[in-house]
Amino acid sequence: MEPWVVATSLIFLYLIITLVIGVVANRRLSSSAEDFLLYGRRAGPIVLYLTVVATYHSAFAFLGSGGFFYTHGIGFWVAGCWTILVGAITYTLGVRIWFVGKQFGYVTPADILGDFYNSEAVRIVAALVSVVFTILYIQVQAQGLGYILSVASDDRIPFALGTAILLVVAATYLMAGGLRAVYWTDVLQGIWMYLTVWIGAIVLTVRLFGSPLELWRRVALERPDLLTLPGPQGFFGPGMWFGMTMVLSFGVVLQPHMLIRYFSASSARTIRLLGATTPLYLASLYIPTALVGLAGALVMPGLDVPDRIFPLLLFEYAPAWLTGLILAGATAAAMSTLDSILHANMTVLTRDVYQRYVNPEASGPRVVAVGRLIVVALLVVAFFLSITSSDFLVVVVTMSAAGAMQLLPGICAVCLPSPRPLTKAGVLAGVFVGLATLYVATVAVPHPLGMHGGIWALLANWIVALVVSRFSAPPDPATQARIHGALEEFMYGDKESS
Amino acid sequence: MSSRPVRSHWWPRTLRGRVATIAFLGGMLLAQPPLVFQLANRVEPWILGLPFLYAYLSVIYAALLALLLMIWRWRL
Repeated sequence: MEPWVVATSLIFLYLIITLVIGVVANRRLSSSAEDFLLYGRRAGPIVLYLTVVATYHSAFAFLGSGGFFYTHGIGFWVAGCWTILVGAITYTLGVRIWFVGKQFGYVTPADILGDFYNSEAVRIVAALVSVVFTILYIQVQAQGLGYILSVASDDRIPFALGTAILLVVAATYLMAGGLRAVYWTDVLQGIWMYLTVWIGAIVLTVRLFGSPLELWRRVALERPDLLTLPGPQGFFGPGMWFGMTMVLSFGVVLQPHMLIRYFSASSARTIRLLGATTPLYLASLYIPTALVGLAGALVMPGLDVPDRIFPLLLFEYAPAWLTGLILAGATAAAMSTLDSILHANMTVLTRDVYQRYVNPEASGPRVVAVGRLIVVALLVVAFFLSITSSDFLVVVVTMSAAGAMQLLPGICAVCLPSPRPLTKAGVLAGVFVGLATLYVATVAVPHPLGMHGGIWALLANWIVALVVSRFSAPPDPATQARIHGALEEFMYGDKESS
Repeated sequence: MSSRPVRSHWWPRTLRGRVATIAFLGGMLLAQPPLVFQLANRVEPWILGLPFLYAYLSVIYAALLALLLMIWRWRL
């Protein structure tokens, strides 16, 4: 049997398994909106662990990181910094986000900020930032899926058709089972992608070089420029190194699909366990992708699309069945993020727009039905976004995370009490200035002085927020006492509500 | 509503918490500019068959991962 047939068949087998999981999840679904949107806030450590890591790692980790090692060398091992920082953020900020969510019924980032500042303007801005910047992320995942299927089928399935098929499958199981289906498929996807990327990298390295250590030695002989900073093209300068560390940790954590995972946890203990242990998975996934990228740089130099290096090496040097399994793993990486983003956008639009402004009295089943319709609409948007742009994966991801990061000062003001919290006017002014700066520092004058545009944006945001807060009315004292008082009791009281 | 006075949550209140935070930030600093560029930006000496920069970062990451696990174990 030809390799493309085996690879494509295994991907379709994987898709069928995810659909079956969606159907089973549907049978467990209650009519409650919270069950559909938040898994009933009952996610335990194993499910939550795998959904967090599978959601965090996407087509970007599976394909983009190999491409980055291929092009820029081991500077991409900076990924260890941001994945470890994600753990620390989860441990400190995530547990507080979980608590206020559980205590006050929050479902989205806009809920947190809107309630604390008692402001519709803040709520709307937070919802808009959440949706706009994660839709960019949908585009990335959808494009990744299209690439994978077209590569697996040896271009017999066109990019657009591949994207459409995989989007429809993800949307189908999401509509069937809500967040439960997303989480259950993420469990499968998280295990599958981790095992396959390791197996694929080891098999390729051993076949091509005899061992990973021999690969390192050959890189030193033939491409020593890949082993130091800032890399062959000067990409990993100090500003970009620091910027990617901040943006791909704080920025990704603040995207709604990650925040929703905090809200859905069953306990504070679960969140803390995630904070301490998820970096093990997140960081170690970049060990095999480094092997893939560096091996590719030696045996297949000069690729136009470096993101394709992993599948191209597999087709050339790995058995067909393994190639299929691994490409199904790549599909899993992209779908586990895509379904979570679709779900998060659906949740934001259902909760912050429909329930808030259109039909506040909507019943649970009604909310679920509207949510499903929104998924269909998002599906169409995602498809058109994916076929109308072809930007380099990592650049797009980085910009979308930098946008979501502009909510950081506001979220910190709510979740980390201080004697002088930011005010409503401060947060709004900060977000507007931050987004304007982000545009200038990523599009008009990309990364001024070598520093990542997202860092300039966050800096401007925070400074403006602090200055404006100094001269504007503080949050309502009663609301502040309610939320900060509860947090104080939770974090430092006699008993933790875990 | 809680009757406890609200104090800043930006800095740990226990000694062990402060030590852990400083250790984490210090470790992260070693993996950030300018230190990583000044101390570790070279291929040699090779460590366990790995180029120096890669091994240097891997050791720091391993230490930070261990620290996170200790923080969790200590319930900080």
